[in-house]
Amino acid sequence: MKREEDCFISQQAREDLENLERYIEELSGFLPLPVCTINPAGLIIDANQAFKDLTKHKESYIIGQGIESLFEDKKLVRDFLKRVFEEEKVEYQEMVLCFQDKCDITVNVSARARKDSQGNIIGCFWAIFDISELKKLQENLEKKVEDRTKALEEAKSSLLNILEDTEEARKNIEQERNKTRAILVNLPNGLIVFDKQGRIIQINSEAERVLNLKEADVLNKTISQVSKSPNLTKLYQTLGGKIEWTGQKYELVLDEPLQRFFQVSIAPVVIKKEVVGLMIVLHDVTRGKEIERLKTEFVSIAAHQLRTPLSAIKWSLKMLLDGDVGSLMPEQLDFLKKGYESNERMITLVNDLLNVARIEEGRFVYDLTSQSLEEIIKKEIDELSKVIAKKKIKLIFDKPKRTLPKVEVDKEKISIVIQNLLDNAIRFNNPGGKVTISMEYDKINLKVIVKDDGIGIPKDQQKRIFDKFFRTNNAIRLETEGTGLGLFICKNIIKAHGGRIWFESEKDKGSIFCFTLPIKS
Amino acid sequence: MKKIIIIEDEETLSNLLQRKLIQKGYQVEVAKDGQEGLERIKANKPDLILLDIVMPKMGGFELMEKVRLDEELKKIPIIIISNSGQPVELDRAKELGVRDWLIKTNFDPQEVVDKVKKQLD
Repeated sequence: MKREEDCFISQQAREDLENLERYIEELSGFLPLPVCTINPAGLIIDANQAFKDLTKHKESYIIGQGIESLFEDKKLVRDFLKRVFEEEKVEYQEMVLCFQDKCDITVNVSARARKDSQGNIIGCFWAIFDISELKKLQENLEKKVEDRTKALEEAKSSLLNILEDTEEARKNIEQERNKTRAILVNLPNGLIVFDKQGRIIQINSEAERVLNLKEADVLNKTISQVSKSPNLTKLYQTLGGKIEWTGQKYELVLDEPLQRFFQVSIAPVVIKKEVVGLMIVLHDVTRGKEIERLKTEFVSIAAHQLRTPLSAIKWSLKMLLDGDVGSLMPEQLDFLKKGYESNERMITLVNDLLNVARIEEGRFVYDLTSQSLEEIIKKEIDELSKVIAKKKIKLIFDKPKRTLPKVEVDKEKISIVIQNLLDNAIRFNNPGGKVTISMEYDKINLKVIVKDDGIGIPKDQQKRIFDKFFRTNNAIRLETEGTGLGLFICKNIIKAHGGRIWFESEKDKGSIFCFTLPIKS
Repeated sequence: MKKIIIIEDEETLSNLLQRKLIQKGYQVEVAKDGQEGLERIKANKPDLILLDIVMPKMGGFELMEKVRLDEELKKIPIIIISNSGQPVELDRAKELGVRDWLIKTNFDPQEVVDKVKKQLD
């Protein structure tokens, strides 16, 4: 009975054991965690399905393999195993599994020692966590972080660059502003800048000096609010009691402390197409004025002083020529005549200089009376008869058929114009040439036309023909004498009468000079 | 015989003119400045005065101002012979009743004589 019983029990125990084994087998087969069992010599004695899947080895290969053969770093495995047997449990040691196809994967290994009932170590369980995905993720993450960091670094450095650029730009602007200010301060012209409301926002040192005031006393004030500066008040009066941009230039005369002349102009201050204010520029023209005055005075005095001896020569020679002191031999007369003519030329020159000086003083056309231009022309033709004969010029006065209206002119000055135009037409003609003077009129103007077929005016010199002292090349070649003042004087006389003077000319073909004078109804 | 006085500081000119006028049958005396001229005018009461403007001691304008103060003397016609001839001067001369104004370089003695004749005939 006992034996039967024993037999039953052992039967029972075997069944239980088998159940347990199956249970363990199923469990380990089901476990997704790769696990193997290792004996104290480090050889694999068992491995679950997950382990085989991971290591890609068949069970027949795995069982009996040294565990280190599966890993890259053999020493690390041996040390790890040693630690496990000493410390019973070691977790999360990172290792690299190696395969024949070299596709290594990173894993974490945890192991725990196995003991028998007496506490002797009989091996260990070896579990592997595949952390390659995690590792990849981590690497990706690290790479991302690195990329981001790099991008941030770049952004930072470009920001720094921008900051540097901005700083430099700011410095440049500052430098530019200082430069502008230095220019304004040191500008030889006086400068006052106004804002849109007419308040003074800047005044340079020259303007301070000229107007005898201090910037601090006028800043942010309108001119009318500044009462203590007589010079500023005078400037304001000169501008007509307003600060406006008219494009006009004004002349300011300041008497304190010394008499000075200024040309005043007003210009808009424009920033990005918007007028933000106005500025007044004071340009000192005192020196120019003084030089101009001295020059005019000099010419005037010189001309007057020259006229006295010239008159004496003229009168003496004339009396000798007229036989007032007895008759002379033809040869003597001839010499005297030449002397007399030279003196006449000198008188013309001095008169021209005097006329130019008067034109520049602005007091030339003066004595307006009602005149018949026809009479003036006739008289001038008579005066020129000798020259005409000498050069064998054919002069035609194409007289108008109807009586022309009279004009209000300075007779002496218009005579000078006609004399000059005729004289040029004769002088710069070829011997035996032709000069025609004619007149036309309409309701507004009377027109005089002087036409010659002489040497003409070269095209490149036509622009300067009315300039003071200008003579064309071909004129100089033909006649060494001449001042180049005639047409300058003519132009000024005609302009002062409200008329117009112009010409058409071609080199070697001749010239046509015309002028008009307004008819006063 | 008509009496003429030439008041002119440039002797060459006054002598030439004097000679020319004497030839034409006038009685001519010469003064070399305004002061002398004024004395002669007062003393001799000429029929015409030929007068320069810029002269030492007394200029032409000053002389004219003085002559105008005398009712009798102010009727004497005056012809200016000058080397000047600026508009202001001409204006002033007109106000003072001057008959003619000749710029010496622009006229010769014969033309001066013609102007004199025109005034005295």
